[in-house]
Amino acid sequence: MIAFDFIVAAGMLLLAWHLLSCRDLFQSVVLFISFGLLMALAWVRLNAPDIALAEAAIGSAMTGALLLAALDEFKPSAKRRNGPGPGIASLLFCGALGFVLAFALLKLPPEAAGLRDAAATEVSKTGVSNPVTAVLLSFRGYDTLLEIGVLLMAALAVLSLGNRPPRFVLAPSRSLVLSAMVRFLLPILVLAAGYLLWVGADAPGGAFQAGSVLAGAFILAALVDTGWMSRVSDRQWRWILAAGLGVFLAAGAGTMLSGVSLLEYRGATSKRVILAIETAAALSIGATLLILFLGGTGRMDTDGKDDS
Amino acid sequence: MMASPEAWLVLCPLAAAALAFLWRSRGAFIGIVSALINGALVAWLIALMRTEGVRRIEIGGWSAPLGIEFYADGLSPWMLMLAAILGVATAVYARGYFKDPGSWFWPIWLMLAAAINALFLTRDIFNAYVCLELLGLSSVALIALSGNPDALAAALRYFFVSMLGSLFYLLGVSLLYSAHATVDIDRLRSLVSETPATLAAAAFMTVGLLLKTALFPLHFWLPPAHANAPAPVSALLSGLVVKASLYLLLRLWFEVFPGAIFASVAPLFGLLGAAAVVWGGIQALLQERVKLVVAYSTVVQVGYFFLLFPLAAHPLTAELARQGVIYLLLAHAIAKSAAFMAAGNFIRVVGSDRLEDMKGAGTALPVSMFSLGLAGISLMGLPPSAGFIGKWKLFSASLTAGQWWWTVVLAAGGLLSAAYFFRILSPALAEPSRLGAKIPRTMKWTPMALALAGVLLGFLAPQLLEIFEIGAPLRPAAAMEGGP
Repeated sequence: MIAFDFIVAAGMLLLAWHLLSCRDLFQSVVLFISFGLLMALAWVRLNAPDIALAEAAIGSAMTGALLLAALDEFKPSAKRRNGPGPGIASLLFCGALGFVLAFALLKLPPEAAGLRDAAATEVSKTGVSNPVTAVLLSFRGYDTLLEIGVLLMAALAVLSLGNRPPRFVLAPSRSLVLSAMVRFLLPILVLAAGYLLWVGADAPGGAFQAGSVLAGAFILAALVDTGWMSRVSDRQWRWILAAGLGVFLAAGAGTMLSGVSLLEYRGATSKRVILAIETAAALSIGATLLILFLGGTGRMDTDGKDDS
Repeated sequence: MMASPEAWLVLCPLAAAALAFLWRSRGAFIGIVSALINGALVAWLIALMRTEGVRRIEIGGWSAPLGIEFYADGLSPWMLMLAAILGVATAVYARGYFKDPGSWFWPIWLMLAAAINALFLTRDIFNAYVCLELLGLSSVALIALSGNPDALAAALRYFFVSMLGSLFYLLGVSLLYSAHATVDIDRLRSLVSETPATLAAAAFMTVGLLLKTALFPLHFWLPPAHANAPAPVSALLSGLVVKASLYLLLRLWFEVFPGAIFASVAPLFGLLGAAAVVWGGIQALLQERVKLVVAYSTVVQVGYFFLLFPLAAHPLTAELARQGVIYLLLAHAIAKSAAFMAAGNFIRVVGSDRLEDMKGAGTALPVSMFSLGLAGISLMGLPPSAGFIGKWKLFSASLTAGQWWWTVVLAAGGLLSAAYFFRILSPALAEPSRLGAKIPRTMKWTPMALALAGVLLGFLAPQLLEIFEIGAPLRPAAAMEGGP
């Protein structure tokens, strides 16, 4: 396996160098997507399947889609303005940074278990058996509450840049192959998202992975036919975007009002609360990523009134 | 547990942000109500702390290191109080400034308010990272709000700076976590020693946070970002947002990193602070736009805050220096917001923010003129303002510590402030004006109220400092023994 690890690591370095030095931005983006996939493999090898899933779904696929959408704005063919390859100054800086990091890391105790044992002892009280889900929604659920706030904030930022409410309009693709494939894929994607969401309680998966699969489904559907999107009104889109934060806040306020500490839930209730939060969060994450994608395409119709 | 204002201080603004997003046309109303509730919650927290002292509360029923804990010693309510005062003032001012009550300003600003409150209440360095993310993203969106090309460019640059700063900070957090298996400040404090990992973490986190705090020479992004934002946003960014990363930096250096490192970097911080005072002051004198002058004045004031490090390293003067800097923080937040709001009024009436166009603006807007003058008094550090109390304490601390050179910096800073404030005030008073002043009454009187508060707070020093001294924050045992 050492050989495999070596190939993955060397491949990542090679890809990184290549994507930074090639002149064609489209090529860079494609290389970046492959880099994300290798990164996901690396996470698998590091025994972090949850992070691997997130990396593949968000780090590689979603970010790739966002970059491609952004690239669309620099038509016809985007080239880097400054010469090929990273400059000497940034190479020196990164080299120094890498050196300091490597030195500090090598001096660390070889087996850093972190809080793994503590989490393993307490996980039975959380109502879920996947320790990652336990950390995200129970031990450090408060972090996740704020992170869901960050996601809504990201959607707000994109919407505010257009200064108007979104009115999802894309030029629908006329490709028969694409539309036939999407018709076939959509139900599978939705099912996969539901599965990831449900299985997250006991195995790798959860709201973030499910949300990004859902976003993939949303985006594919938007590429083929936009009719369904305008059938959902702007107001309803806003509710979907805010659902994750709303349910999380309701859980927070509910726990406070019932006299326990913020977001304190245990056992059987815990599983139900966590599932409710994750379902709403997955929907919001999917919608947020769709907004980011549409914002990047510059195709959000903007016909509201101006601010300020 | 219901009696925990800490949790509500985070839940309420977040909920208000979601509501202001769902009912956009009611944004202004939701914002103002939320700011008032926020003020009441902070008052509640302070009342509780006056009887109970330092508060530490588990979240989710899990204690650290597995869970996250809310924590409040005197520094937390101090910062929360400052945020609450600015929150109410900003909300009232912004209601007049943004003619559309459904402006995106409201939900985004409420997100920022939640992030600020959460940051001032956390005891967990990873949770602080999440707060920084929310804070950074909301600040970027607020800077870009006006949508003009300069604002967008400044917002994008700020976004990169802010992300870079956050990532450096996160790098430090992960190093500390792998070395010590905890991200709780108190636990880390008892575990850290001068290992390579701690040193690297200290370096990364410091660089990241200095970038966000805009300490010279990492201040390059601040003037365009603060000057191109809408007036209420500039007031928030200079008054509050810069201080959030400073707060975290103070927590880390006074409560986590070992005293020996503290003693060796303290003079460096002092030096950079002094350079910021002089450089920022000279730059402010050279600017041709009103808001850029006020923005460079923030670079100056950030410099003052860093004089805390060399002076707190000295056992005799730690007390004076802590109180002095903490008072300067308060004075600057209030006076700078007042200054940006008053400048915003001038710009609204004159239709330009060039100094040469300001002729006669003062006679058209006497109230705003007077508020700018009062804010200037506090920023220059003239008696009896809050700024004076802060500077006086720092002055005495420098003399007691035998580090007289800081008094030169303080005096130079004060003179430079006077000079650049008169550059705004004198053309404004020059000729009688023919400008028709048409701005809402709230916009006229909010900066006035703030500027007056900035002066009056000078009289309340003993009572207010009592709140700050709960649990004696920013008093590192290590620095006391390791002083020169």
